[in-house]
Amino acid sequence: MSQIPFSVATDFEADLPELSAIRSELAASRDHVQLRFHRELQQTRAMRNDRLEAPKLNRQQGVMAEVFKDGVLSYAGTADVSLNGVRRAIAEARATAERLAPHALVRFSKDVRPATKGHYESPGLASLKSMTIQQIDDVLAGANQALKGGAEISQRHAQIELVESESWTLSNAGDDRRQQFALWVVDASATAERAGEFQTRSLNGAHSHCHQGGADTLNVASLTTGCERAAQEAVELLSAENCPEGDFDLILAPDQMLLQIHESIGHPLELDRILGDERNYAGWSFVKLADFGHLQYGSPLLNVSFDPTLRHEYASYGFDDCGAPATRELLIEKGVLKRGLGSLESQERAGVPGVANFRSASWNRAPIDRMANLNVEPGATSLQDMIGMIDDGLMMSANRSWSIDDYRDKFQFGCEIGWRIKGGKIVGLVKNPNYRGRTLNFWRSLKAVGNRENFEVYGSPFCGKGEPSQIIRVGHASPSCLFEKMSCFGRGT
Amino acid sequence: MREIQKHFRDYADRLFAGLGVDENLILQLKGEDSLFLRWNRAKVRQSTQVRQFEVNWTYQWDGRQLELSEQLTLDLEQDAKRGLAQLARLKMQAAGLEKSHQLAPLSPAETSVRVGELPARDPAKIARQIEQASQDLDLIGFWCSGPMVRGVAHSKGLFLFEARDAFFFDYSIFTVSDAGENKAVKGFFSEAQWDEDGWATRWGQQILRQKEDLALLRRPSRKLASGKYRVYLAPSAMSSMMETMKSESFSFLAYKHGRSLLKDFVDGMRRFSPRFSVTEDFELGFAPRFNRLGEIAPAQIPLISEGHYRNSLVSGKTAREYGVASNGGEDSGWETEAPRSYQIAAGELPSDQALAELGTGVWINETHYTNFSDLKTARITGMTRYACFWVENGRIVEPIQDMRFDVSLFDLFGEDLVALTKERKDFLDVGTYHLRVWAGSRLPGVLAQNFNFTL
Repeated sequence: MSQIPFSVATDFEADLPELSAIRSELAASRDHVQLRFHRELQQTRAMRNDRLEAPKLNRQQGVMAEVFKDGVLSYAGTADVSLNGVRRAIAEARATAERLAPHALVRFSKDVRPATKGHYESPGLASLKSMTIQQIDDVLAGANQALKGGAEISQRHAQIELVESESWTLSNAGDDRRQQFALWVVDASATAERAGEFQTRSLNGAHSHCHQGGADTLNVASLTTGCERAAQEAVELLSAENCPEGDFDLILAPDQMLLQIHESIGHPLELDRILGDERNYAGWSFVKLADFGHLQYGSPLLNVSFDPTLRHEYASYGFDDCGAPATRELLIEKGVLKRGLGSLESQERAGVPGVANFRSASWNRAPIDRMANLNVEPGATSLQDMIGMIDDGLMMSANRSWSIDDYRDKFQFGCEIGWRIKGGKIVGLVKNPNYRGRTLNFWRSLKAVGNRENFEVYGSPFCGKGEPSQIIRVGHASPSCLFEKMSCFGRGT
Repeated sequence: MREIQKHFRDYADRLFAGLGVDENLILQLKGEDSLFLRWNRAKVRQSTQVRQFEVNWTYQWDGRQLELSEQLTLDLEQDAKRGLAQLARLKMQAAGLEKSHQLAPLSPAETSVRVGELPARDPAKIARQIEQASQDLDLIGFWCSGPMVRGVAHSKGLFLFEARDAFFFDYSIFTVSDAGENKAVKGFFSEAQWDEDGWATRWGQQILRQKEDLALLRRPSRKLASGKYRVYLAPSAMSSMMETMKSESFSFLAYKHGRSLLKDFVDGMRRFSPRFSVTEDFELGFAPRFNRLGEIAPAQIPLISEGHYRNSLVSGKTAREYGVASNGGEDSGWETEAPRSYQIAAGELPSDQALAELGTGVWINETHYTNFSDLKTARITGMTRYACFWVENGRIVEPIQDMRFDVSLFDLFGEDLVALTKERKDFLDVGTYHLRVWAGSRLPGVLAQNFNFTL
């Protein structure tokens, strides 16, 4: 076991043995055809209460054919990446594009498919080759050990997931893009139990430690510290006061800001939502196209970037699925809404500026407008100073409950842990902390933004959207932020 | 789907031939050949066809266990070659593992094949029919059709295979109220048979009925104050409430791991109303009876009977870990051991009297983005959505502005439950994350009091 490599990635080209013939087929096509080959190798190893669970390997591979004919786009996906499989997919997509053309909502110009070539890879990919399964299991065992926080800890769980993902996009218009990713999710939690009550603490909320990179992404010292803290806090929460009810000044830690950014900035700014594509499922948006360039979304302290260029953030990439090069853009500047989360397709429909965010979950889904890395830019206030600004308030960390309406306005979120602040000082823990509010009121009540030292990078593997539905990976980074007079409550309200 | 059945059997045989004496392999097949059409403003926004068949392996050697998922190309030589290479890797890895505490049991050898097929459908004709019926409407929706398969084979002789062909159109129709607010009704259409022309006629009749609701929605809407209200949750609202309740409430594994919404109920500290019964019922035919391990569940498993706890759902793996009996619960996917084909027992209230019995309160047709807000007290938060109305003296007065709620299931289906409707509706699961879901439910409407609106 000790010598078995953890990485299972092999040469992608070897998995596409008829690629040369497929290229010829593509070149011979009269219509504009794009082929997006995608392979994903997902390994999950988990240990609960010192016992290794059955190791899992999930291998996805296939190709999505996109035919662009007379301004109409149509897709057909298959796991059969042979020449015959690809031919069949192209033929199906072409036939559907032709037959559905009279019923198409939009006819696009060719500008929505810029032919691009290029390569992107996660940092440190080569270092994965040196990692062994035994190393991973040792990390899990160490985490389980660090999660031991006394007799009241009933569940200890640690999990490491590595996804080695590769996409290769070719078209007869000149596209040739390869992107290789190493994507990690590290999770750990401790559940404490006393007299029928449970309290769970995780590293920073479930599945939030999401990053891309090589072997050094797995920071064992930091994981150990996080596990020890989680176990200690889970036990302490059993004795803590219930979160008080009322309007309080509220500091949200970066690991809760990630959810707040995602739900109340990310989704409402998606241009396909604003254009109504999602109204039957995920919902619409309170944001209107006319709001871009004008709407005071938050206080002047709020600056939000779409930034797929931060090397280790979970959703960094070189190009989106229509070939737009990924660049950093400010969506909200000094509180004013400037730009939407919309692909070239949505930008053409909406006539407002967007970003390179046309993304699909895998080969079996067509791309739609998605978040990628969406970050609140650091401000100037230290966490200590922020706490010092509060006479009577709360701080909350690590998301555990989330719900928001279909226009992304009225939300209610809950956290794993809270702290009571009085007279500018933390005076104790509170358990079962929740808060609710309305999006614009919330961001306009932003009173202080943490500085660079307080800026933390997280993400989520589970952003759901679309019909057919797809789960996409997103990154969110933020410092702690202080909001004035938020409606807070605990259990039983 | 007959060719998929043969491919799966041949693929399984090739892999089983590569096993040694101490090895076992359980293979689960999941797949689809689907047409997806997204609609916006009564036009096609995006069309996608997806042909995918994946096999989930549970590999065992001398008490060790590993899991693997692989997609099939449907070229037997290619699939078998890759499968045998994966098998070699698993054998190597297994040697370094401890014996598993969750070793899946091997179900008795059995063969069962059920294949349901429908005639082929013409996407262009479907698009034409939908467009014609919704010409004057702001319609948005999701058409989904095509066959789905599930199968399980294991190296000790089990072979189960089920295929069905299905279609549905899940849609919304939007309007703007006289006060300038966006309002919408929700609709769903599906039939067991494919009737190329008849379906559109029947769907068109459904649309005509919904236009009456659209007219009501154009009235200025009422802003409710926070507080407790008498409400009627239509079966469609119950469906979305139950999505959250069912996710981990009935799972024995979730109970053991401290994640269950109903822990205090299972422990006998809480009870629901004697009117409230929930049963996993495969006789409804919403899902195959076998799970990924090939365990065949009992036809009916009472979960809650007249307000009392009866059973949790237990998969073979959970059963092995905790020394209890399995009842064929499903342990894969997003939801651990969640019901796949379940019903809530009907009540006595005729649906056509629900409005009168509501009297004064809120008629809730749909809820949105429900999620637990506190596990211990089984609290759920969410939003009202679509056609929800303020009702006075048994008559609809006006639509409401959407409200956030936060309620305990122990209260909602306990002391606050006033009545359940006599008639129930069937709901096919329209989930399509990664792969189409094959599940469903039969649900009544619920009349309740003290429903807590918060924002």
